[in-house]
Amino acid sequence: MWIFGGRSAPGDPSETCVGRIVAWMIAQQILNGLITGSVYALFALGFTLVFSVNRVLNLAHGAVFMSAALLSYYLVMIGTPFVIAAAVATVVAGGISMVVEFVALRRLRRFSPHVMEFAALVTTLGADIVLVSLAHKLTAAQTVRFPFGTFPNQFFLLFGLRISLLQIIIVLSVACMLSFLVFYLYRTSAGLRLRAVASSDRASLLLGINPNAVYAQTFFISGIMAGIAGVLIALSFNSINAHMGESYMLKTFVIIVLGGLGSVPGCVLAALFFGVAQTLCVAYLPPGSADIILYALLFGMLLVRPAGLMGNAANISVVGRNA
Amino acid sequence: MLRVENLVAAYDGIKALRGVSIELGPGEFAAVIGANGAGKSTLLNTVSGLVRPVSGKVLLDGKMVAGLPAYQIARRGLLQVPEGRMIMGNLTVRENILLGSLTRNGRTPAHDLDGILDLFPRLRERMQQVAGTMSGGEQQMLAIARALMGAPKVLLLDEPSLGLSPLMADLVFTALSKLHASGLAILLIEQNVHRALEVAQRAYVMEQGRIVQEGSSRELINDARLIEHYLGGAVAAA
Repeated sequence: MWIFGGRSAPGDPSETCVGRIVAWMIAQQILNGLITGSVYALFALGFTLVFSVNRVLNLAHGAVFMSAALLSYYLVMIGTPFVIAAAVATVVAGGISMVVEFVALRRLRRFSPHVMEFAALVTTLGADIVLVSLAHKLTAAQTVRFPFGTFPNQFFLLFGLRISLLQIIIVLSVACMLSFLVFYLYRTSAGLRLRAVASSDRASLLLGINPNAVYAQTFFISGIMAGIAGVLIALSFNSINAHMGESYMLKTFVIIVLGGLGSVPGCVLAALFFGVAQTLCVAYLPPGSADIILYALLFGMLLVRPAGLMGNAANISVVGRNA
Repeated sequence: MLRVENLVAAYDGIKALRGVSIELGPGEFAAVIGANGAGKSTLLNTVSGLVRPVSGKVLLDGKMVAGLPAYQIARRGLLQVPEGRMIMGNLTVRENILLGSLTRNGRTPAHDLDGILDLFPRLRERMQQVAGTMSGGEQQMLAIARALMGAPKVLLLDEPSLGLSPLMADLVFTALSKLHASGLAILLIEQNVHRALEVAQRAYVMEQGRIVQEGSSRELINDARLIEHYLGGAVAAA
């Protein structure tokens, strides 16, 4: 484990050794992969949260993510300090997500669950198309970038590995959001209500819980999580366009199947794993082969363990005790 | 306390309740009995607000609650222990009970947690257990305990003995008798006529969405002709 606090910096001419350099490069890739994966986790958790409570695949989740990125860009362009722009964009993303719930799902809930679930695919996809088309018009189908210097380009050394200020911010915001989510779900009465509705909306009604309020709440939190992920990704790649949410949605499907539908720790683990696997594939395999491997993971997992890493086969769709 | 007047309810245009009137005084324990499909559960679910009434009134403490959403009716203290128990299977026993207390809405519960656990000592040992892993009888106890935590003004129970072993059903009905003795108003829906008439003071007999007979449990239990006529095989099963 010399990579953690090695005696001298890798690459030191006196210690140069091919094996060490390769190991150092792999370690650096793994670190980058974990950081990318943590953003995936944030995005996928929001999606999972909505799925667990609403039993709905919210196909507009990626559009909410993109909206936050785009909004933060416009706010920066009119001179808003970046931190404020990011905060406003995130909260607005939560709001957009609530609007999606209201227009695309609220009225569908009167139908039986399987009708509702199918109809929800169409309505949330519709919401996605509306948001993406709007963004498409706004940006004139161009990819936009934050002006130079929006975020300081600073690097630090961590156990001999390079980590940027942005990466540190990413890890911190994901950790904060994750702790908040766990605290909220398992330590507050609002979280208890939320888990109650996830378990049984009918029984919740009889316990004085208004499921519609809980549904709206989950969409707000989910939108916030997509929003933070959107701003972080926009900043990382400094590239924002109307379709940026789509590839993240596809990744999320793989991640939630890998992790086990509805499982919070499963989702985080799977996202980190996915991030590392993706980074390593891109770095060491021929171009274009990464996606083949990553999506094959999906089928591999379904073959070996259909409920996912941490899924509970009996009750896969619920944020429950072990979720 | 609870008054139901001429309640009419329908599923897909078919009338399941055809003008039902019942009354429950403070501290009273009444049962609604009748064969499968007589409309007993529909009555309870309409009173609870899960089914919207077509017409008629439901008054709790003289205030109209019919037509309100179910969660608001629950917050006002009309608490139902649903058929099939509907405990939150993946929450712990403690969390289920805690969930019940969120319904209080400022009312002071007649039974605190300790009192409820005295009533159902089995739950005390299982507070940290995931509720879905308990037996049906224990889950029924939990469902009642959860409702009691919400400081009910009236407790509605839908078939609490369904699927329970006779021993477990005994425990549940003994607990209901104790709750009645402590002054709680209870409305019980039950197919098991004998058990229902043993614990309740009064009973209504329901048939095809109507109340066709009412009286004290003593009168009804001795009316062999009536019981056989309206309840058919249910007596033999009991």
